Amino acid sequence: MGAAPFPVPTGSLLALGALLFCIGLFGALTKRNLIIVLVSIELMLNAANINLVTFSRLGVAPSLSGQVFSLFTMTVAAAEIAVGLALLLALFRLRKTSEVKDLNIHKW
Amino acid sequence: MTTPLDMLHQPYWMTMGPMIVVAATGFVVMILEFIFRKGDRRWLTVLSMLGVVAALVVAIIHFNAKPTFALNTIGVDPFASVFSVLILISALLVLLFTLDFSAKSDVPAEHTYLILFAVVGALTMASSIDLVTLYVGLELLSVASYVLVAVRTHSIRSVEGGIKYMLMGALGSAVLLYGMSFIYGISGTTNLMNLSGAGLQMFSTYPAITVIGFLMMLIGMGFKLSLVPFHMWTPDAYAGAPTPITSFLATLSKAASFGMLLRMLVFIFNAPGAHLFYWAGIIAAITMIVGNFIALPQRNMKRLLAFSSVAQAGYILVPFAMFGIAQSADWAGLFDSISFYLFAYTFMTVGAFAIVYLLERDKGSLDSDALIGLYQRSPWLAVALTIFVLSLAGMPLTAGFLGKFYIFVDTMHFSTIWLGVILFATSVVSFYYYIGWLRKVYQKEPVAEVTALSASPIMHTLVAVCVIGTLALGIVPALLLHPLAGLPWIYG
Amino acid sequence: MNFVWSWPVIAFYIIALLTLCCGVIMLSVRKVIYMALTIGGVFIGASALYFLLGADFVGVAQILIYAGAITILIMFAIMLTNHEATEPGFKWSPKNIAAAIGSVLLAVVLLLAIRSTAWPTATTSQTALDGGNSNPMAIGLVMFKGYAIPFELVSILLIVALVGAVILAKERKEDE
Repeated sequence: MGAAPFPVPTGSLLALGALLFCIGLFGALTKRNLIIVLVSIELMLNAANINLVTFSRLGVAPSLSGQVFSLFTMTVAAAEIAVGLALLLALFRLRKTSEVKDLNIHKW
Repeated sequence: MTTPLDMLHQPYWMTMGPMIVVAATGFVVMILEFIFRKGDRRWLTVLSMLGVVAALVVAIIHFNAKPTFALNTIGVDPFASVFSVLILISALLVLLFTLDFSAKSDVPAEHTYLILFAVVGALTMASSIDLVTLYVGLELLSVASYVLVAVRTHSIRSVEGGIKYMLMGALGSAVLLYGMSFIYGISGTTNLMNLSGAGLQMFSTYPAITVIGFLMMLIGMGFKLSLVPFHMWTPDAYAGAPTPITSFLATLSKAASFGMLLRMLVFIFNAPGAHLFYWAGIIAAITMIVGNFIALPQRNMKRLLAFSSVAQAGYILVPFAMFGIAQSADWAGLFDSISFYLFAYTFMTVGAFAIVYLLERDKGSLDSDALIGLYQRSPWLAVALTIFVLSLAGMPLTAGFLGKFYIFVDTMHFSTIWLGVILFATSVVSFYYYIGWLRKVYQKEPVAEVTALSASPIMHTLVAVCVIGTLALGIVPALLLHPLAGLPWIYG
Repeated sequence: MNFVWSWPVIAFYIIALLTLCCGVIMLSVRKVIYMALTIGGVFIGASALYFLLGADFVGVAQILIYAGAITILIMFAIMLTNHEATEPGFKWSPKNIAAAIGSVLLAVVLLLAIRSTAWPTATTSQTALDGGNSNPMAIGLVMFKGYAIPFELVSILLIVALVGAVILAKERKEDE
């Protein structure tokens, strides 16, 4: 294709994904509220999606597979978070809490 | 997509027959569950078991089929056949277990078809050759498992175990997906067949990214397989879940995850060489050591079995370390060791959990003191437990011994003897806590009159099947090794 | 690489800055409900990025699913649980320090690996990728030809999530 190269370097896009991934990881490991832990994990999934869409345009062999993959990821993430939040509701009903530190019936 | 794919003329029945049967049974059971809301609904479980048996028949008919893939996505090859049969057998055992469990405890009837859908996910993980499909299958299994662990919503232990499992599982799949995205990026394809051809070139052009992709995928699956730095959820989820579901997590879900990990690593990273797979060896070593040593002080039987299953995952991971060293002609032996150990592990683990469940129901406690006097109360169950525990520890004449023996021989063969030594040493450690159990089993109960331990015919059948499986594989391993040896693991 | 300040580059840096800011704010604010709001910012930033890359359909889906459904779902969960919840400030406990060091190290390693890699520069345009069709149509063709089986599996996954969420969130009579 004779199209001009995409002006934003691939590395910058991936770096954004990497930073988001690490922010999400840090949040997932340190946050006390369970909902925020889940949200942080969503952030990590978003970082993976940014990678996928970037690679689908700028990767070694660009193809639409990456975009389709990211659509699947979104659906899966939605299913996962629905179940996750239902679990948190079940916990809240029993313990009136939504914090990591109150998960203490079993020893960690 | 350059190749036109004719949707209608694909060998669907041959490539995904078991999956179609199990999914169809799942939907039928779901609809019947909506219709019949009253009374004893355990016949739904029986129906599910019939579906799984039908799927098993389909899987065995196509056991030796020529590798074929529908839509370049999912299909049958030796690898898929072996793991599908393993998954379906453990599904059958788990369903038999729930049949007894649901008679005595209040667990929502929905769990029956959730298990079936989870089995569909597991079968997908075993037989797919596409990263997207593998990921979706993994999530199908995981999401169903999160629900199943926490299904007793009035029990705080169950819900807490479910939440920890869900958080760790979601973290794991995020890491896995991030790794997959890099692999897609440097190869431009999600198809494992194409990836296996592109591996070497991919690695020589993008070494750093390949290593990151490999590690991320290994760690992501490590969360699901409860390998050691990522095992924190295991004891809590295992102890909190209803016991049949615990055995489901320990056998079926682990077998499927091992199948998926094996397929991904071997297909994608076969070319880059030994040093990548070395990481798997390091994780295996840590897992064996930590798993066995943390198990030592455990008094809660389910937690002990949980840590024991962590250690067992370490043993199964050992052959993974050798794929980089071994020539591809020698891989068949490694595949054989892994699948043999998984078969052995399935029978002994389900059996051990079944007896723990009987004791838990009888005494109302999971403390290992509940074992005291078991021999007086039911000699048959005591002997069965002895067989399972000795097999888990690796005593000769049991399946567990041969499984460990084959893995040990592999380590000698491929000059990674240090892993073999760790395997041997940690097995000796494991004898210590297993023997502790046996001492209590044969100890006399202090009270004068002894009540027999009651167990339904279903549980007796389950325990008997597991005993037969454990002993048969231990005494006549050719039963399984013979069909395995004939398989063309490496093709194309 | 010859660096040109064209409009996509400027747009990218603005989007990246806003997205990262939202991420960092999410980590630092106290009230849980504000955290949920900032995560919406991250989701919208990501969708803007997808539009910039020409992946229109994924961008729209991102807004619908993430910025729409998931953010609202999270808000609901916060409202249904402890909606006054606040997050205590960062404590220098050993666990938190380890997490911080681990995350920073991982970021450094990832960034170095990405930087040291020579990514391909010859790029295809999105139009070529779509093969002359509109983007949603091209995605539909790929999805229903090559990825029909995972698509069916996702439908089972959604049923499992639906049933599972109902089982878990439903109030039962026999509460302990």
